[in-house]
Amino acid sequence: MEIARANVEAELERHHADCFAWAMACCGRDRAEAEDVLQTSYLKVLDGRAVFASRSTLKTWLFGVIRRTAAEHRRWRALRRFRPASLADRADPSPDPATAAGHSESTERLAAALSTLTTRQRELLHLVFYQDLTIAEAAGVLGISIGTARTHYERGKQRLRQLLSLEADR
Amino acid sequence: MSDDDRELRKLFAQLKDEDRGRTPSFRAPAMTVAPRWRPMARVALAAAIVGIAVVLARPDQTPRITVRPAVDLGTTAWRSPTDFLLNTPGSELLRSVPSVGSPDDWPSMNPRGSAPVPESTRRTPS
Repeated sequence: MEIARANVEAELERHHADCFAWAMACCGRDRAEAEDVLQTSYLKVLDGRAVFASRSTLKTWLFGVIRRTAAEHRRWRALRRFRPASLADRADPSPDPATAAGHSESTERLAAALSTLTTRQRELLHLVFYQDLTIAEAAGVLGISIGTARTHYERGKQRLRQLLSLEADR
Repeated sequence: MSDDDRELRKLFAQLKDEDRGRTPSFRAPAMTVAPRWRPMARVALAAAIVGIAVVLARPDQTPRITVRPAVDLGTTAWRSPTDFLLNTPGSELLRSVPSVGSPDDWPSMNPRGSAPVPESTRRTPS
């Protein structure tokens, strides 16, 4: 049991950077929320609430767990908005200064353009271009068909190019 | 891969490089792993809440002591709403015993006279 757990921890550490980047993408580049989502996802994996069934690679499975956990966090936050007490402790929706600082101008433009895409387009482009997954693997992470993934990928890419060229013309 | 794709890939690679430096160090949530009994505790808590709710929602089966106002039965009378149907013409005859008077008041009977002939033996004149 301990050996298995050590192996799982080693695998998590190996994919940690990619998982954190994916968590950031799922949380709208909110660093604090991404860290929470990642810790919750790791807990799910380590205590057996999320079980790897070897139907995909470990990395794409982990990405699926992180994506579902991020969705749960979003729902939870949406519910908390209805509580009067939550008005005071509501998180600031502006980007985290630690995240925003230190990026070059071109990557700032890329992040700004990505934020205007639909969630599915943004996730697909991140998985394909940032995480170097194939469209089929990305479709598996998002739980959609390859045809649907390809459509969103092409539209997202086209829109991103338009936005970046518009930004460059300014 | 088109030139546009290469350009996008280059931008994403640059973003990835910049993100690498800001990735928090991996810390396995070993000490914060939820112990195994915690789900059972949640189930027990939920069962307790349901039990309390059932007990509170159950209708009260103990006899209730209700104070009823004292009623003087002597001053009350019940009247059937269909009493008027019994008021038929001549109904007073059914409620009273007809008086036939005292035998002294009857007309004197003549024992020597001809006894009244029973109707069944009476002869009709031909």
